[in-house]
Amino acid sequence: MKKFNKNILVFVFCMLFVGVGLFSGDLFKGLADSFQNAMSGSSDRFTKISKFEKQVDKTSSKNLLYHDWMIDVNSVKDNLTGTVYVTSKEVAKTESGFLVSPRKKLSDKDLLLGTDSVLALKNVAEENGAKFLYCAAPEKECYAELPGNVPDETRNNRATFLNRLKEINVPYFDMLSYFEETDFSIHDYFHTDHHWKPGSGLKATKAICEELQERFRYSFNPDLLRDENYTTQTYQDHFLGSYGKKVGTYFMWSGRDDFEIITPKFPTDLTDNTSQTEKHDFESVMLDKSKLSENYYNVNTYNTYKYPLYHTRIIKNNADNNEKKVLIVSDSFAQVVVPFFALQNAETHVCDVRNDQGLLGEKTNLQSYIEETRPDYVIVLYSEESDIKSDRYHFF
Amino acid sequence: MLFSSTTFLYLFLPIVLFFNFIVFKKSRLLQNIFLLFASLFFYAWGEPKFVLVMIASIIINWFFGLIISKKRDNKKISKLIIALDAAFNLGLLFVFKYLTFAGNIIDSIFGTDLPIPNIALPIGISFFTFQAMSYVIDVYRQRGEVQTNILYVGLYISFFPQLIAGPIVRYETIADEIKNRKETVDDFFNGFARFVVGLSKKVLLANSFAIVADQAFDSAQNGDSISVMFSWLGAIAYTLQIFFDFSGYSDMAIGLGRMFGFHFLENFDYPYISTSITEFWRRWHISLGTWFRDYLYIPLGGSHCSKARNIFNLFVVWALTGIWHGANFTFIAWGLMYFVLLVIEKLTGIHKKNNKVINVLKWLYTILFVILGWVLFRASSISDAIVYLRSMFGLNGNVFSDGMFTGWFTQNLILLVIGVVLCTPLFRVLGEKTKNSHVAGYVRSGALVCLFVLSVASLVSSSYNPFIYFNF
Repeated sequence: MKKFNKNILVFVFCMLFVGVGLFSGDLFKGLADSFQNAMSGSSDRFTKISKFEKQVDKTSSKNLLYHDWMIDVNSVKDNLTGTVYVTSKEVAKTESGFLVSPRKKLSDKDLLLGTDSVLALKNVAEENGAKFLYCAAPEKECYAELPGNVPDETRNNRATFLNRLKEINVPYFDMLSYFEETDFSIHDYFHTDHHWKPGSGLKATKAICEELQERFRYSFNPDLLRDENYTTQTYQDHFLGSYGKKVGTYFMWSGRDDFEIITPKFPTDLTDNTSQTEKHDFESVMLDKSKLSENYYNVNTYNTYKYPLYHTRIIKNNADNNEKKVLIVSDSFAQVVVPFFALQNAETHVCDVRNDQGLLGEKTNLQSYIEETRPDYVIVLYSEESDIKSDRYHFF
Repeated sequence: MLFSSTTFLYLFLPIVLFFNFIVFKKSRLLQNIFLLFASLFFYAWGEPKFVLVMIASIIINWFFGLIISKKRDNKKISKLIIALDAAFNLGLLFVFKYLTFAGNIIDSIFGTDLPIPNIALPIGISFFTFQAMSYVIDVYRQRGEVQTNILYVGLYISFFPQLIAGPIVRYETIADEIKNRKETVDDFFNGFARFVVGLSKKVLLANSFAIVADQAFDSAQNGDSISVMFSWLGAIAYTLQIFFDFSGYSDMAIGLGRMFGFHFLENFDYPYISTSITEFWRRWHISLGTWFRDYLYIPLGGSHCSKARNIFNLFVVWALTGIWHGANFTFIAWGLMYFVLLVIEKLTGIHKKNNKVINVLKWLYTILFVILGWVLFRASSISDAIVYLRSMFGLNGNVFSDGMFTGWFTQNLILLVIGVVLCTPLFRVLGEKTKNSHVAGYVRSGALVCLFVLSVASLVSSSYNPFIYFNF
């Protein structure tokens, strides 16, 4: 009797696997959309064909039913085989179990571009009667212990940038040095994301308020920043951060991060010009709980602390009596700072000048904005001194 | 289109299998026409303009094949046809691959500034031009029936399994199978299993070794000082990368061919166990070596001539082997390195000596030169190659070991061990010993399914997927 060829099983199982991916996902709809997108526009035929091919290549992977599971499977494989640094994604894992993204050395040209831009903003602020402070939030990579084959210039870039700010007399707050006096560490950041945690945002708010008070006699209510006056609700294993999305959930066995929602125990009365809600409480104005989703690869749970979808967001604290108006020019590190900082001011204007996040509204020209709104304080809260090339230093 | 892509695995292959084995099951003619158009589509994917080059090649070579089959008895005309065919195919190769290189050499020798256009390289041109020449020559030598149907010539030249990166399939190998192949159940499923093996080698191994190799070579090229150990690690990683990349691709090509009833010859036979350079070139890229042997070396006189002439013949073959790989002096140097070693072996007969101790020493000498050769091959210039080679022997004032070596080595230790083991015929021997075991068979099948899933997982996750031999 002819021997059973077991390779039949290989073919059958593999084709079943392919079939499930093909027919259960929305691959065909994705292909139809790709065709439509590619054929629109006025480019020549070969360009349209090339565009269609690229979209098909992308769709045939992205629209598979088990796309996210495959990334998880791959992360298990990488973990088992001892991979530490995924160079194609620029993500490495530290010895203490955190994902980080090593940075290249900041070029002299980029250094000058960034620092000169900050100087220009400082001059505009001061010319319009505002007090100015550049707050350098510590990047997670500053605390990372990486193996010898993962070179990282984060700390050096940061030091170079701040030294230059010092040379050109721009007042800055080195939050890394500040936190060295405390127990702040890499554990104040998410394992799988580049951001600091919401609780760390509260600590950072306190640090910024203290620094502003020391420099400019900024008045703030420390009771509004005490941990005891806040409720923390923890969502276990609920957040797969930016780095984790790139390398997969199980690139570290710890998997996803817990996610904390911190809300004040005391009453608040806030309005936000970009908000659709008529409610004035902290949760309605500052939080978007729809982002607490289990669609870990496609939703950014960090945006539960509202991401400034608009270039400029104005939060009015109707409970504040001292009429302070603060403009905070920020990146996403401010998402977990602004909710607590806004409670200290009558008006907090939050401006994200970057164009690369698909923000709505016109890009804000900060010179016109400062001249028009006349804030009392202009604060820049940035986390990345290495990322000069993005729009973050294009203030005007 | 790449085999190692979700477009191929989820769209192209299932559609082609469906049409070939179900829709056109009853007509060989329709199957062949379908496979031809599928192959042209495969090539056009990503290279829409260059498919016209492929079509031109098919038409011209078909025409030359027809002429030569009619004029075979007239030696003068036959030689003229072959010369014209070679001139066309090599001319095509020269224009797309070597024109810029040749122009730069002329400029540097004569101080000119020739207006050389920047021509993109059609993928796989080195493979399909050689295959096309093989058709005309084999028809002349009566080692395969002339194909009057241009579509069948097109199918031979452009058949998608071996189109982009080989093996170089000689016309005589599959001439009969174009019309008279028999697709069997065993061939189909065994071919698929072979495809999965190749896919895993490429995606799971070659791509991983590429990361380490790139780190080492790019650092050296950027002027960074790399330690002795890291430079060796980079060279060994590249040695493994190129093997698993290329042999993996060949496995996929051979496996796919077999599914459709075509039996391509093996292209690799555990080359890294070779105990001489002579043996290495009988185990590495066998289709290229035999092509040069049968279509160039032997017609030049081979070894049936004086020693001086034999050395000259070897020189021509190895210089051209080097040039075939790329338009850069590094490839020529690489080819000529093998020429020198082969001549030494030929003159001394060292490759024929055989005992346990000598074999170990021979293996060490062989693998050493193979690794050093790959450094030449990988470097972007002769000067970069020299710098890298000097790093390997501590001649740049570089340290012996550093964090880069320790980090990359420890993080890739498991894969390095797997890679080294798979370079040996251990699994083939195990397979032979357990071929009658049902349990072993099911374990093997299960392992292949897992490898397929892991490969897909890697493809979905990753966008780092270079095929080295695509430059050719």
